Amino acid sequence: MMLAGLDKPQSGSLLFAGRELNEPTKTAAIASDRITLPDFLTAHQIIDLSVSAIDCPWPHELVKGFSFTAFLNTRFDALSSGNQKKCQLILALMRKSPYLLLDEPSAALDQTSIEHLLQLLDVYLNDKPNGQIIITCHEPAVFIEHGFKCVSL
Amino acid sequence: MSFASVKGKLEQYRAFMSYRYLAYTFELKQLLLQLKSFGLIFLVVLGSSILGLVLLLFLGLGKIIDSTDAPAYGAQMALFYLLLQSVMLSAIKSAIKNSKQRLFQHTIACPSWLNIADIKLLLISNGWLIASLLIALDLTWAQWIKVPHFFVFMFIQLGLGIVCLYKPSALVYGFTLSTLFLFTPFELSPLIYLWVLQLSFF
Repeated sequence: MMLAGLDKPQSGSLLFAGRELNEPTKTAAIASDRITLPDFLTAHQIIDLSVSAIDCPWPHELVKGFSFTAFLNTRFDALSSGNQKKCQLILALMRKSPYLLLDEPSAALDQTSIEHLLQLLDVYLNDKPNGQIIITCHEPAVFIEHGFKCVSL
Repeated sequence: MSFASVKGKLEQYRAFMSYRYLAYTFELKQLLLQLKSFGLIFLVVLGSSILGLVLLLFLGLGKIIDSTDAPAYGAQMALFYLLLQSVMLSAIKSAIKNSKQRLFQHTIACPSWLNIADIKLLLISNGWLIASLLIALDLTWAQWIKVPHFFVFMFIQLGLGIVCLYKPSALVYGFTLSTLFLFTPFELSPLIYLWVLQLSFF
């Protein structure tokens, strides 16, 4: 949360690529269950709002890739936990931030979506030379198999 | 900063604000739904006296303005109004701040936008301050000069609203100190009373 600028540190500063970061929310994108999305809006409205507020292109490819199109007009609170997770991931990935923080990204996701996520992560850092992807999860096997470095906490 | 980037920022801000209004109205509707059953009882019991209650609100404000003869009484009335305002704002605080989706807001907007949105929604929610403003607008210039304490009172109303949103624990200390002060046997001018009230809270 601190890395994403959502919690304020009591002291000290955050360094990204050796430089102090003043606006972490612009440099780091996060997908986490702790960020409660507006459950009174549809997934389409939430994506629309984020696209307008952060000024990025509409994530057509991500929506299609996660097979989420059919659920765009469903209210967020009526989505299954897997689809809620997909919505969180779409919101984080569409920002194209150099630092991507994913909290339990595979939880509640079906196998096809996990494979699609891994494909997206493979190419995510191609245009971000100083970028990093940080994943926290209880079942890291799928990510370790894919080449992610595991650090136990 | 170029014109295009300013325009872009404004559009982003507008999108964020429209979300905040939507969240605010949604949460208020939810609150009203919860109060629906109580509302019917209130309507039956107090239905005929609602107009009287509104008049009483303005009458009380009149007492605060015209408290030169009994400044302690005026200050007690002011404290009572501030207490009612704080209770009301505490009840709708989560709707004003959209507390449930606070982290989500941080992901789409800079912190200053969140504060601006909070203050805007606070201003439209604070019926007590709006009533004071209506009275202040009705005063003539000569009357304004005679009642400077009323403007201190309005400033406290605004400040207390902000305290209620961001540092509610300060309300407890503020109200305790103010109550202790108001019931001490001093006779001060209305302006000094309200300055002391202000000092207790901020």
